[in-house]
Amino acid sequence: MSKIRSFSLVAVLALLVACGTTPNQTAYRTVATTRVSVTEAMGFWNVYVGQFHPSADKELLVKNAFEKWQAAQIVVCDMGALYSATVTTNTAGSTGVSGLLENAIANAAQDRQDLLDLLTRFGVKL
Amino acid sequence: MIAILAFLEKAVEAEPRIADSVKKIFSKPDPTPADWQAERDAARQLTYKQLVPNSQLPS
Repeated sequence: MSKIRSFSLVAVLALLVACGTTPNQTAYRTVATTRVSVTEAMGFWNVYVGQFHPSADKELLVKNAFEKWQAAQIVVCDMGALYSATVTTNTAGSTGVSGLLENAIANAAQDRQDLLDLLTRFGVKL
Repeated sequence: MIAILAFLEKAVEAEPRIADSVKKIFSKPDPTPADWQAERDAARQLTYKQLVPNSQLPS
């Protein structure tokens, strides 16, 4: 199965997340599909590591990039849970939380992109 | 849009593993705090060594 096609699948699905959904659903779908795509990317890295045996330094860079994304993803989920709770109970301040959630999603998206760029730079065909 | 959906259909057929994961995500109604917590746990449980078993790094 083409790696490009599997990544494109996730990307296209991510593009469709906003169709006919609530902001909460959109955020959740974006975040969850991001986790799927990162997991796939790490699978390609695993194959690359098995084949080309990159240095420990390179592996460490990828590990750190992955863990940076992971930390950001956890923050997104915390913000998402808070947003979901405020929207459900119609608590005042949901707009503020929505902004925090958007920022967290943007940060995690950047960290994900940094990870993918690093893998590509090391020669992994994504 | 039709072209995207056609591509999607073929890609989903070819990658059932990804399709299953994403299908579950998309079939969920408005996520609750518990759904977000589950997604948090799913992200937190991932480890480098688990995803990269070929790694030479110490665990």
